[in-house]
Amino acid sequence: MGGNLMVRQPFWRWAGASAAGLAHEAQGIPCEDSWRACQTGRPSGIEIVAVCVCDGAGSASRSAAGARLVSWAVATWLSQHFETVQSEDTASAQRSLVRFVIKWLRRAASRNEVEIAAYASTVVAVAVRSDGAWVSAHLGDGAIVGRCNGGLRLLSDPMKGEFANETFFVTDEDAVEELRMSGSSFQTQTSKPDGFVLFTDGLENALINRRSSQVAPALGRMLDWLDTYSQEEVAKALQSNIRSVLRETTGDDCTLVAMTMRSNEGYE
Amino acid sequence: MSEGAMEIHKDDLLSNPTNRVPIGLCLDVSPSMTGEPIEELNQGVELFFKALKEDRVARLSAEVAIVTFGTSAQVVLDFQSLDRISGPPTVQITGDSTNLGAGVALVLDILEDRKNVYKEAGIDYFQPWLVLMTDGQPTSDEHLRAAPRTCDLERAGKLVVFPIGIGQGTDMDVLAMFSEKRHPLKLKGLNFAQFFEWLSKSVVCVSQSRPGEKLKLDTEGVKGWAEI
Repeated sequence: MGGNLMVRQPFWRWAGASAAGLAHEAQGIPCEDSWRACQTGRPSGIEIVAVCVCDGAGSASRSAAGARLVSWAVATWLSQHFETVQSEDTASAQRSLVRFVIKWLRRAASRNEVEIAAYASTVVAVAVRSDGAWVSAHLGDGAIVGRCNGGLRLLSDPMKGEFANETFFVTDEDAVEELRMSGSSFQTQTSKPDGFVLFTDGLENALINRRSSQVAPALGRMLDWLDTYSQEEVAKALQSNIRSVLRETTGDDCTLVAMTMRSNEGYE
Repeated sequence: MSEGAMEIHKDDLLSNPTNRVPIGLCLDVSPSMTGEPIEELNQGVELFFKALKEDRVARLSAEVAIVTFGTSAQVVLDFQSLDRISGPPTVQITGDSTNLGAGVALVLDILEDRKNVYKEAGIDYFQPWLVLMTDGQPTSDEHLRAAPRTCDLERAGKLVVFPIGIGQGTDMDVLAMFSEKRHPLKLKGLNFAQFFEWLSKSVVCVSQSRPGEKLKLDTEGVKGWAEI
């Protein structure tokens, strides 16, 4: 019974949920958002967790598949190349990530005899390491909020064109240049948040104010839940709150993932 | 876990303004529109406002301005939220000529002003629409300067143009100068009501569109009001 008391490396926990927008649901269209988390360990015991949320383009014929594929590819690449991103120059990391995603989209497009634009999707991703180092990758709308020293901060705001229905996708010709990468290794971002929330554009209006960079208190509460309850319980609560409260503020699909770091002392 | 411990309340959320769709109606009120045409036009515009106000999203999203042109152009109604007005003002016959170019230039100017208001207030907006309706031919050359402006904006994806002719006297070649993407259509008889009903449905559609979605118009519905 029991075990040895030991101090583990701090580790990251996450929980997420997606729901089809009310407009999509009314038309019988499935959710075109997707999200994926990928956890990998290094021999040193250090862990990396990469999370990506994606919104498939409404005009693309395979938008739901695009969001699924892109979220998987981005989370996989970030978890495998975390150290490379930290040491490489940003332009090179942007190029490698987009190339990796496009490679997988090309395979799917070729198999189904469609253009890769059929899989057009946005990218909102964060990868974190147990020492608190982090990297984000963002293309298109959606946003990333971080919890730094107990306060919430908009770390990456939505990337939009002039008009409300214009945004950027990973399949765009200039995706490499448009992709926004930042993180703890970059000079402009030196803080190490202990919590992140990533979400697609369906939730933007309820959760952030782009003009003032204000962040909704709801996000702080979600991170608190993850500090307190199990990942499964929080995932259920997120799903329920998106469906009953957040989704009422938009017609669009909604996806949100929260991550928090926990310094853990426990029995093994 | 205690019951209700993980619940988000509306107070925990932010409220942002609804994305706007600015629509400029540019209407011919020259003497040839006297009688039934102007009456039908006014009823059509009233129906347009009523239909927009009845839609949950379009009510907050659509902003309609009315510019009329006779000898000169004037702003009869500037862009504003539909909630602020009970209905559109009645447009009246003015002047003794058809200065179509001045009308279009004025709409483009106030559309630009409105976009600046949105930008300053941090309000997102969709591509502005210009609905140009005339029953004759211009009596000045001003349209030769206004038409390239609409085409340049349209080419850059910054304006959606609907050129509409009323009756047999319309110079459709002149109307065609205002859009490279959309052929001018001629109203079937005085079917203003059907046209504005179709227009309101199109506005409802765009007001609910999401990033990456392209404007899809009900082309089948056009047959209800246009001579094709």
